[in-house]
Amino acid sequence: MDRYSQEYSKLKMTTALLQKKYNLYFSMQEILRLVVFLFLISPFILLLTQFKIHGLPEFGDFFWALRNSFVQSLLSAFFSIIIGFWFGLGLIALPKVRWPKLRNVFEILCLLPNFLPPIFTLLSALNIIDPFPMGVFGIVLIHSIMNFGLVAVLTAGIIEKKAGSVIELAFVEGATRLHFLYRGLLPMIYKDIWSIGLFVFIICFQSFSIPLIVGGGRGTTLEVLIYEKIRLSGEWSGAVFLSIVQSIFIFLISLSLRNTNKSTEIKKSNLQLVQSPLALVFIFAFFVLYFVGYLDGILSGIQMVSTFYEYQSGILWSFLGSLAIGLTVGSASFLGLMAIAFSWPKKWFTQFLRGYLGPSTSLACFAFLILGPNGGLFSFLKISAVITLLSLCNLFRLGWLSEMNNLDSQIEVATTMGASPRQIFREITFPQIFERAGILSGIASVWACGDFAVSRILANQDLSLGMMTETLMSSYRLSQASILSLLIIIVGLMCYLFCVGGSRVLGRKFKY
Amino acid sequence: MSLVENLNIKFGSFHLEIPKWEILDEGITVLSGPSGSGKTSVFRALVGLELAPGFKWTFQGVNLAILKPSERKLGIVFQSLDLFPHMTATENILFAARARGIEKKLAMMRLMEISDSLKMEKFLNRSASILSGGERQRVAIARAIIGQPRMLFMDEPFSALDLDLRNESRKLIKELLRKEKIPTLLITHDPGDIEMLGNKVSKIQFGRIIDQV
Amino acid sequence: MKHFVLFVTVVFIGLSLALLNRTNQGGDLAAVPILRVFGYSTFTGRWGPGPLLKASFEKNCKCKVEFIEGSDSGILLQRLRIEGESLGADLVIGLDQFDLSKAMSEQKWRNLSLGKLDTYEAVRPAFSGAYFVPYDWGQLSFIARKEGSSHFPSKLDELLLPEYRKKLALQDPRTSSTGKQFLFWVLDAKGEVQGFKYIEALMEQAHSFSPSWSTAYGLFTSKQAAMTFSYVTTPLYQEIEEKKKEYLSLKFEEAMPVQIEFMGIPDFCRNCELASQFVNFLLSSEGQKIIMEKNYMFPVVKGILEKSPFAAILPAKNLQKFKVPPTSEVERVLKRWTDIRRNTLN
Repeated sequence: MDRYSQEYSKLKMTTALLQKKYNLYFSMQEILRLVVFLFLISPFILLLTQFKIHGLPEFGDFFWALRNSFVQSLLSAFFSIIIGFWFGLGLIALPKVRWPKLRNVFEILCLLPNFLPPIFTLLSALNIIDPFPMGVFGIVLIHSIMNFGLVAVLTAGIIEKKAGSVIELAFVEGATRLHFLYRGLLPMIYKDIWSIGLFVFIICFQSFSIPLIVGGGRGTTLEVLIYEKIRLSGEWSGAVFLSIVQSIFIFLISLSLRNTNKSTEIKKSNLQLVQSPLALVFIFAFFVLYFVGYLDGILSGIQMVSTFYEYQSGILWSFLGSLAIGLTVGSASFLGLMAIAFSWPKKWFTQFLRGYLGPSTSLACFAFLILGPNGGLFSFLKISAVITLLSLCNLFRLGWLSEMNNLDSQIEVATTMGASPRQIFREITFPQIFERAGILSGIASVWACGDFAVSRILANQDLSLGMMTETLMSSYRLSQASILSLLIIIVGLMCYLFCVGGSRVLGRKFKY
Repeated sequence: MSLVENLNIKFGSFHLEIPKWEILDEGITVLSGPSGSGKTSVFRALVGLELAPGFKWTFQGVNLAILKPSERKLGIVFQSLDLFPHMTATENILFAARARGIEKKLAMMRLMEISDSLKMEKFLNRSASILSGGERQRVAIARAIIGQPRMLFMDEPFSALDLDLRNESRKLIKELLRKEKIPTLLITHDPGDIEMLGNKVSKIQFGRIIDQV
Repeated sequence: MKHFVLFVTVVFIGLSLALLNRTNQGGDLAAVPILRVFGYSTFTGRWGPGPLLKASFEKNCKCKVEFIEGSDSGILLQRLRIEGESLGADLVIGLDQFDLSKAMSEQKWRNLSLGKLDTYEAVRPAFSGAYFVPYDWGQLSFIARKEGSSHFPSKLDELLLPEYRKKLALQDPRTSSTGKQFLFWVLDAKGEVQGFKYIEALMEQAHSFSPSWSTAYGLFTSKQAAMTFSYVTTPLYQEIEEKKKEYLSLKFEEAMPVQIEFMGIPDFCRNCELASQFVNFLLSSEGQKIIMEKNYMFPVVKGILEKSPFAAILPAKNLQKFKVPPTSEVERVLKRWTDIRRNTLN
């Protein structure tokens, strides 16, 4: 036995003795689970130590805002699902097996409005839709524009994976399109649709800037109310209370989710019965409009591009700052997703991740502001931590849950064989999920690149392109801000490719 | 003989209630019954995937019910087979050997033996995701027995195969189990399985064992 | 794999060093005292007066100036309250008259000693306080496009004309200081009872209530709205920086609102003497000129803008009198506004 093995067995024995003496039986899985759980709820813990909840906030305000949040999110989710479903039928007219590249281009187009900072969508929509309908309809419209692409991509994947052969059968038997959609397809995938709907509902529930700008008077949502409590009257305890209630509300709704049916590999199927080339044309037309609206701002910015000359070093620093934040958030999200995968499955943990909304952005930021020193590298680390914290649950709902659900039975089999969690993770889980983890953490890194809401509170100076864009907008320079947003897309793309590429390298390395 | 006692689980309105049940500790015990009778629930409870308070299962003097699923040392073949799709057939089988801590050399020897018995040479290096139904089933069985389990559990292992293949598989497996001397619990509703493989047949209906032959 | 790990390590170390280097620009920091100025980003950021003020002050002070940025005055006060001394601010810059009462109740501030200054009448009363001193000011009004209209409103009531229905890009007074200015302007001009009735009627005219001035301005420049509430210097900015003359600021019969921006030295300052010197520097001709040209606000000290394009738009008459509304008063008015807003569809 070499020295290392001797040391290792000595350590193992000591640990076992300690465990026996103090009855400490925590497996690595339990520890990781606890770490992820505590990290995600840390803002609440930090804030509750600072602000004791004394007295309850006005319930009239609360119920009113809750109702608004609920109605807006429900309508947004509804329309996103309706349009997204139809666009999904458009996407399947481009089967992955036949035109993989073209399909990828369309999918990326569909996902862009969801991953770009909302201000782009807003400016684009305002440029195109004139007059823009302010109020609830406006919120629902912007939210739908931001989300139906995502719904389309998810729905198309589900239809291809789960219903391919049934669609072929119905086609051969001569079923009509509408009849099949209503009687065949929808009952088959309604659980998945319900879960996508809930995902969109939660995204809209957390939305802050959109309800505030286009919401109008009856649009004040819970997120806005929480912000008001902090900003207006410094009523921290009220804000924390509202945020906790909001989280519980979403959690209760999430209990309605059931595990969806296991999906299988995509097979080449004839989906002619349900696919809709017309929807594909509409997707294309929609994105032409989206980019025309966006490019309009860019073009007027190009005339002012010479004003950037004297600030080029600042732009370079901000570019590097965005890159650093994006990469850190991407890597941290990757680790977070892997920690979840390693400690999978545990019922309470799954349910918690599925339904946990997390604190409002401003609350999470202020909680981290209280924690330890600020400025310099601390700001940078705190920004990355908060964005990771806010992204992780969304990533889980966005695709990690279904990915892990698909592995449930394999993990079960491996467990009964006597495989250790480490072996299961290394040989079963990791090889099958690293690519998806790369994509999801890439998405989080794109979110991080465009962020200014979190950074603005936690940073002591302009650290990133997102912050710089916001500063430009606050000092009349809207058109220059549009130009800078192009750089955000570039740095976002770099971070995304880094995450996807990095995960592949890791995947190759850990091939058992 | 191994003895199952007090196996009581409630799933909503369905109630699994087995006060006492004997499983052979050599040869093949078949648990048969119609769909929804509770076969798979019994299977999952014995494997340790469902919790059943008060349940006792004595096998060669050991109460397996108080052990974790991994410590019960059972070989499992689920109805869905659940091969690891990113691995080859060999990798699938060796995974189980590593999980049971079998030394690499010994594992390779066992693999060769089992592969011989189950006629697997042709597809050992093929990815599990492209194997045919019959091949998948043989890999799943090889994977379950390479770790020399106390007992082998199979849940409807032949259901996805066509009639000819089913008969061939039954023969192969019967021969293998005889050679390996692994007591087996086979869950099935197929009379062909019962006739060809069963040393003892227990019938289950509405969550209760109603007949043991 | 090794290459990848090496690559990742190099990228992260490089980026971290870059960030660290950026915060510590200027080498040996222990050798010179650091004056830490806490202000909002448009003041301290690259496009604001901050960098020029810093460079100019550092020439003579044998010190380093470091800015800590907050997004706006609301965040400034919250961070001061939460972080207190650990924030390390020697000087706070960017509070307006609506923040003063709150700032006084939440923090202790140092007495300021100033030299003799020849200030504009509009801001003179604001110099009477012991703890805060104004460094710039602006007059607010509605900004409109010259094109497409020959007649513009000249009193508040005309904003209620049907032609302006859903055409005004306003700010939410709960989150925006210009929004607050507008609300208190109306209440001052009309009295509270009539004022709130007017606000009720105005809800129909509003295109939107944005969370910040910049969003409302963005809506106006993208031609979503016909008018927005902004600074009278807005058209001048457009003329000088963008070489366009599309906008004009409107004159109203009612006394026009004035926003005054203040600075103060918190009691926990570390380099208090330097902070005091910086305050005086900001009020010097050099400091005032930089602030005027970069912040597009009027200087508080006379003799700076007279030969500049700002002179033509300097308001002399018909301005609101300076006062500092107490926090409870601001909260009460905002609550009333919220109630009215809740009952409107738009």
